[in-house]
Amino acid sequence: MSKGINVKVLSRVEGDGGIKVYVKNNKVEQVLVDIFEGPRMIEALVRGKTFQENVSLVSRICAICTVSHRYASIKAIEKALKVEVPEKIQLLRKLLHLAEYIESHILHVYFLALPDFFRKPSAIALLPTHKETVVEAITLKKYGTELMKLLMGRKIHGENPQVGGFGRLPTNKELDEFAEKAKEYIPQLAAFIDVLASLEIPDYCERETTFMCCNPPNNEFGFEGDSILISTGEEYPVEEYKKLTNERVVPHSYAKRSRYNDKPFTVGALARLILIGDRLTGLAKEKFEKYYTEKWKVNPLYNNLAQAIEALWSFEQIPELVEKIKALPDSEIVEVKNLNGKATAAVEAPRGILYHSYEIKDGKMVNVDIITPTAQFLDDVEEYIRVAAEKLIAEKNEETELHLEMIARAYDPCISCSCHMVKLIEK
Amino acid sequence: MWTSEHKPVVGVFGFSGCAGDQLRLVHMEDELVTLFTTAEIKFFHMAQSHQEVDHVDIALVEGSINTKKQLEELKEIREKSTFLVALGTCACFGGIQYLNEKDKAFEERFKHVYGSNIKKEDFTVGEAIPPQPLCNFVKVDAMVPGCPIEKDNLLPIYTKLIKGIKPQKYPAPVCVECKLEGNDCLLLHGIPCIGPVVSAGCGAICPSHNLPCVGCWGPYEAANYKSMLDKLEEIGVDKETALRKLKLFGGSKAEEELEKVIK
Repeated sequence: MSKGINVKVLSRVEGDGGIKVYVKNNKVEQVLVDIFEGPRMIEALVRGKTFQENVSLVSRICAICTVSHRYASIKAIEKALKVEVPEKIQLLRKLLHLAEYIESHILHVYFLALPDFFRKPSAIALLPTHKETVVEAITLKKYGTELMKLLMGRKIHGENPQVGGFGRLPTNKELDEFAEKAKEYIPQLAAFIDVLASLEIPDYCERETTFMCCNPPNNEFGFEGDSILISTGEEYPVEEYKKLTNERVVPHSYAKRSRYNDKPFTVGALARLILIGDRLTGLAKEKFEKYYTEKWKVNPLYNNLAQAIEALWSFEQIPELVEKIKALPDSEIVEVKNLNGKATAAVEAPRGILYHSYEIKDGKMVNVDIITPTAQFLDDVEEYIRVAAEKLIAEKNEETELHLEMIARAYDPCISCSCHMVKLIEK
Repeated sequence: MWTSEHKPVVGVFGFSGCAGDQLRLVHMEDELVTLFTTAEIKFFHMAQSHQEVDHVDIALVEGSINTKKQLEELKEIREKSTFLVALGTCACFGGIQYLNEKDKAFEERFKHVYGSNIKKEDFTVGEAIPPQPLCNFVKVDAMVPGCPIEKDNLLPIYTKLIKGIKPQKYPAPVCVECKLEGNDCLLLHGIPCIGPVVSAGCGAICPSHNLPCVGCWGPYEAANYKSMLDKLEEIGVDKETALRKLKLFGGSKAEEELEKVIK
């Protein structure tokens, strides 16, 4: 009989996974992040569908990243079919993407990650002791989901953003309400970041790795770009994404895995702040400069703080962005005239780079390749769990399983597109 | 059923899908605390850890079934629950990934995604099967379609359930909600909207945004597919496009109904 660590179902993540750690003579032999989600094979089922239908279908890959999927899809289609959209449409999409960052990061930091630091099963269980924090979390998250509802039609999988524009444009009055509320919430979130930064970050999971993120244009901070920056100093156009991901099939997951130069790597908020954090502005820049240390480069648990800083930056962009949008004229959905083409687009989903690569013929999808952030970083999660498990087992830590789960959770994995809990198995 | 001294025990479970229906529960910010305190939510892995449960009064089950491991788990949930609710279009009809047992497309899609050297048996996380709705395997007591579910059609059902009252079906197509919203009919303008055969509950969101219904709530129970096909033909939509549109989110039910009509 073998025994060991088995987190059967990893909780407070999106989707269905588990972590198995095989141990022999106190040495970790193997770490497997099992993904139990069945294969939906979206890339195969969209073939033969029109590009508009493709947008509706691929956004259903993941509920938490629905905006990022829709955004990447629309960008790839417009690039392939040479559709130019007016500035107002571009800025409204940017605003919608910021709303998803607020919704996703607030949900993860407050609801999914924070309860571990207080040894509680959920954010709701924090109510008796930290009522104000829970209420704040609910308020901030609601801001994100309501802004998504305004621009998307509903909180999840709204059809309003289309290739060429929006079905319905928001009114200036609707936008103003969100700009005003953003100003109100900025100091609240800034104060929470100080509390979050005061929590002790354990050092059992330190190791060097490679980071990647999109390089936003004009040397600005942001969540999209036509090239990928790597912590090695290299930069590649998004069209060369296969070189950066090298997808392979592993038996313990229907989601594929990625490596770069045969090594695991990290994408997401931590990668973005390490690579382009110096481009932040406002209060987010202040918080980043105050709390950033060399430790961030070796410890994935800092991802929670990185996410909170990005959520703050997102709130800070909204008032000015709304003013710009209001000054621009409304526009109808741009008609698509050219029905053939090939293109790759990348956006930063809250948990990392998301690639959509398409070939379209006569308005229908011929080839669709989608690489999700979770598929890119799961190998690195396994490596960090290996390092942590060895240390924790050696020091006979009583909370080994919790700590290993915290590492996986820090990455904010999104398992529909690509984990449940930890299993130590002694051989 | 449960009495007032005993809070109903609720479990939220997820299979293959986007987890959007569970996330929609988490996105009910105004009702979140009430949701977690009026019933005893013993299992909801997206929102909480430390959960073990022997029996639930109400099981809310999201997603389609598409591995043998998931099928075993679904049967276990059925055995251990009093009232099982299929949550979302994937659980109700199979969703966008639906394929019937005999459909050769499953093997073809598998090969396309994983390559021809990989076999279904190679995976250690449960052998893949064609994605299907819950009712193909177990008795489902209530269906709440949606992609994802919407608060306004889940809450009346949930409130009844936790009080031990059997909920009613949502008995209308999207057209009814479209009229309530005061929208102009898109079909009358020659825009291929499939609202007449799609279950209501979304609030006719797409037509209210000047966009045709894509059908994401799944088929309306008394849908007249024959008339729908005739109307689409009348406004110049070819048969292939019409069938593709009706099947996009229609899953098992659309396939069944369309087979009858085409015969």
